[in-house]
Amino acid sequence: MHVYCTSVTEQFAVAAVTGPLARKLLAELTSDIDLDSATFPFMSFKDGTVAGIPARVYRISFTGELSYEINVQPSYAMALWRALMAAGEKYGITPYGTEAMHVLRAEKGFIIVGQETDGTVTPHDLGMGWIVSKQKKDFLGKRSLTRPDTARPDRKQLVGLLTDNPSEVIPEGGQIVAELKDKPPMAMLGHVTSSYYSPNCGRSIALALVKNGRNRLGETVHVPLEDRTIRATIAEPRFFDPEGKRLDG
Amino acid sequence: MVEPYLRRSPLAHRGLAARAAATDAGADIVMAERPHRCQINLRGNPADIKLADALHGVTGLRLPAEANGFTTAGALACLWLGPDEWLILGPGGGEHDIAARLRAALGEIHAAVTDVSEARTTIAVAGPRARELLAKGTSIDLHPRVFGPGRCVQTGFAGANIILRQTDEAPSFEVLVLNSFAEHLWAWLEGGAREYRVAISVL
Repeated sequence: MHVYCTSVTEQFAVAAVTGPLARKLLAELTSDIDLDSATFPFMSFKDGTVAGIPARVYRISFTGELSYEINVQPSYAMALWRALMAAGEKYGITPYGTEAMHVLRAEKGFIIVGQETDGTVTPHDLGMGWIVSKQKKDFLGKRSLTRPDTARPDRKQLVGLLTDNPSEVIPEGGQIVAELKDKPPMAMLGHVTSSYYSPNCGRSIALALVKNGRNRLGETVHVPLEDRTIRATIAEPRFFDPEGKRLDG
Repeated sequence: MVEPYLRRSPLAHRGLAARAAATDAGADIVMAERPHRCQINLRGNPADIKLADALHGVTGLRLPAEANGFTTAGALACLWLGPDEWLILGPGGGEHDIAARLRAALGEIHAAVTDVSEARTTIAVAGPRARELLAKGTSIDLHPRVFGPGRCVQTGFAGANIILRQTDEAPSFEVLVLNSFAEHLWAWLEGGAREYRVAISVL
């Protein structure tokens, strides 16, 4: 392969504008980027200017909301930020941090690589088999995906967990068992990968990797802790806007 | 278009212009930020004469003959970064034109021209004790026997990746540092220079 790679990580600064009014706000700050959903659909990008600043705008979303990620030269990032905050004031615009983003993405079941996954988790385990090409004769990792162990039907799979008590948040890393005994050892099915209280859902939500999880939807499991045991039901790993309607604003 | 005054350098929050000394006279060390410069990363095969020809035709620069050296042509410099990697450094504003003309001149040969002008700022460190200060942060031997004008190096400095070059015998150095490490490096250098007489300059 004859390819040169040069890092441009620091050549760009990015502001993500996300939420139902994202298009309305951005429309006030650009005159040369057509924001119409038909011509600027999800998973596409356009070059133009935002607040007079040369920008590359991506329509991608890690919150599940209608989102635009505006990439500009870092030296104009503050100018972009101030323009967005000033124009967005009338809409009640607010900055959000990674903690809020973590909750928003978990409500949608969007994974974080390294949190929901480790080196053993395949796209199929995550319910993301659609991302793997069936047409390509070969690609990096194809051999691993065809090993008998990777094709086992009872592998650990990504599922959602809903606690019986909606205000109880399971500790991340909690071990999941199907059959509760008085004391260990108990056969472990998997573990909780992400767990938050979700204001949008009005209850706690969790993502977990569970053995044969896709075939256990609706089953009750237990998370035994030092001082208590939490009961939960296995659910689809999508808790909010399952149809993805909010992605279009 | 956006007003140019809204443009901020990675060290703008330091208010260095307001702290600039009236004179550098008597200073052991003169420090300044030199932001918004032309920085173009060039990759290619130095054995291919077309690469050197394209660079020379567009910029007047020759490829450095030695590892860790740089050549100059007017206000431009070409820094050796690796066996097939160089950095073209120059006054800000020229990057789009140089990158476009270089790409055209390189034609179909296997090479890459990448504008990284916004990725780093430059901290200038000059004066009689400049070498002493820089030696505190890097394992590179800066003794004049081995490191002098025309030399450059990519190295670690106080935990940050930098490109260091010496431009004259004063000695004057330039530290090119990624935006996100600029504040750390400036604070480190100013802290390390507390035992010297330091003048902030706007150059």
